[in-house]
Amino acid sequence: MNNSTLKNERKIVDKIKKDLDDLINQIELKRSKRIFLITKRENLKKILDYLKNKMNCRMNAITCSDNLNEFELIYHLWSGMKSMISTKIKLPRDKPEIESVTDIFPVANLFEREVHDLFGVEFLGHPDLKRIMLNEDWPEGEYPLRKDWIKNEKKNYGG
Amino acid sequence: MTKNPSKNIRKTSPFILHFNSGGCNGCDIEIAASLSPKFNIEKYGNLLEASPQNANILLTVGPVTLKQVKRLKETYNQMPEPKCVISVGSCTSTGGVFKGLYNVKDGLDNVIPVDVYIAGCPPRPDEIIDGVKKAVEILKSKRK
Amino acid sequence: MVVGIHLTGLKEPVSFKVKVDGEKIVSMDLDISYNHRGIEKGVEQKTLNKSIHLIERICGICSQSHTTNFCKGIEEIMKITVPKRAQFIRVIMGELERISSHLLWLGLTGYEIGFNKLFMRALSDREIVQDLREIISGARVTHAINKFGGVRRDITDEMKKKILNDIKILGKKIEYYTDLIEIEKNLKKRMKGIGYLSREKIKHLNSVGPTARGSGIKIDVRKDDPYLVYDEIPFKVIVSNKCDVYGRTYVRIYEIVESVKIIKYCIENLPKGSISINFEEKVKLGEVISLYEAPRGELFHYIKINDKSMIDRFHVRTPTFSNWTSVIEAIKGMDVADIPIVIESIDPCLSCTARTTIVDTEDKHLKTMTWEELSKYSVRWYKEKGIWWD
Repeated sequence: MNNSTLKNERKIVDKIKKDLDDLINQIELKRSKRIFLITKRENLKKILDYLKNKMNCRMNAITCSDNLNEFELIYHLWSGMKSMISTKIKLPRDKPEIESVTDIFPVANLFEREVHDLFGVEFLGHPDLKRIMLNEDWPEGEYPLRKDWIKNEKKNYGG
Repeated sequence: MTKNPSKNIRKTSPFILHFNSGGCNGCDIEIAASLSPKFNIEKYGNLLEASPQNANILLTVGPVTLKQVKRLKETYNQMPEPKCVISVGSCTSTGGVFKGLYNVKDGLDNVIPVDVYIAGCPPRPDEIIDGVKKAVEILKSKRK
Repeated sequence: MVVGIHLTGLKEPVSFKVKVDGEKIVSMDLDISYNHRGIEKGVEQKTLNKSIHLIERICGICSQSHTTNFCKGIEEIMKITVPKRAQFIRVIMGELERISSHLLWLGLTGYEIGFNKLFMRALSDREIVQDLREIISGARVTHAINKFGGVRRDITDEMKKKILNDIKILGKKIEYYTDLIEIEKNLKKRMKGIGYLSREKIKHLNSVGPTARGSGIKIDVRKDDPYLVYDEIPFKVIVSNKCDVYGRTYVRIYEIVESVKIIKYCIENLPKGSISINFEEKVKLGEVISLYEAPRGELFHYIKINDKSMIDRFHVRTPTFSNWTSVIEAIKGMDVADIPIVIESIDPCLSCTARTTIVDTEDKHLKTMTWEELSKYSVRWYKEKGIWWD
């Protein structure tokens, strides 16, 4: 691993702080080429739009994790300035929904379908939020990657 | 090794259908490699022209994901008698590394009857060809 | 007419629903749920050491990519520096895997277009690489050579001589493919203009790997976010401006040439020292994003460890998952006969039992075809146009 001076990353962090100051709760430079932003759900689209147009970002992935009290969604973007910029938001567990970002990044179409299928997060405005990972006979309302999900041996999950 | 084995095998020349039921592809690559001139599985059976309607041997790979169960049964039922099923790899036989995961059936014999098990993760092309040879023998005995 | 295809072949289970208007394709939908096993949930219940074996089998073709990426992610959380020798060995195994994957892809592409000589030749040349993988790691496909802190097996001086010798032979054999892509007329006719995806389109769709590099976008994790010892090794990122199936084929063939050079450099400059570092402490709480340039493109792992030293969340985003949207775009306006080669050109990492359903927008009849039938149809279609190999 290279022990760079983090000059490039600090430039990115300073620019983001200057342009998006009130939209971001916290910004963290973990190591070279890894920047994390924490923000609220309402600010997500504005931030992703900025990152795409002003930071020349492409979308790598959308990760969802179940933290028992809430869901954490992380939108991973790779900037043309050679750094990963990951935006974290938290969603309430009882009503996990958020606006879809497929209008900004078309590749998010598949990523959001995966999160919806395995965690049950609703992506409002998604053009076609249907199953992608689980088979068509998988019962509704069963989200296998949630921490409290246990397979019910008596139910039919397909096959 | 019998004298001139290919003379006997050519009499039957079975069609071998390769079916992936949700595996990692490791065994598929070794089956593809067995098509190369170095191993030459086509000496024992026709792999590239097989379809469910004309296949005698079903070469299955993968721990059988829940989605594939229906299609696997359909494919098996479409094959004409006598037929023979080979389970290639550890995960196809017992679930292997995938045993207990939420979307797998833990092995082929939970879905269709199996005649030959080939162990390995993945098995080498020679081991796969060895399994095919045994399946051809079983097929011959089923024909009688 | 609707065509359903039960595919059996050398690819992964996937289902395509294609809408046609006459012979031209209007749109395509895909179903990739055949291969879902539940690995991301499975690793949450296993210890870290056992997880490596499960992660290795996410995909057999890129098994080395998955384990190296996972191990270097955990090593980053633990702030461990892996010995240089081990890093060189990981690079050698990774590049051998890349050559093996690209040659398999070349063979399958040849098979798809009816060029059986290419199919047999690529599979045959690939055996040189498979033998080297077996000599070094003991296995042809899933090496099990990675562990936390380094590698399990060393490269002896005798192995070094054998590797250098075989790499030289392979380098000579690759000349057949570089000549093919530059000279062979029928190949150019079959591939040029097919599956066209402009540079802007690819950028918009965020594709990765040879799919992106074949359209002029220079992205490669080995240069953008260097890992192991790639920042020390001299090599080129191959890019083509053709933006079609020909461009992607060009990129993959010349990447084999570069990989041969990388392996030669690594063997000649293999540093002395240990092949692993022991550490006794349990893995700490933390999260890491690990990137790796797999044969198909950028592989993304997100790993989060909880306070019990178990995996809290393990998210994998394979390169093919990012590239599916580009296939759906590239196939629009193409003929049905081009489906096999366009899908094959992104080198989908799937095991096969693909099913293709073609829906005619005028006549709502559904017709199901197997991949083999579609392949044969495609070969026949082009034969009628005069593009054929004996």
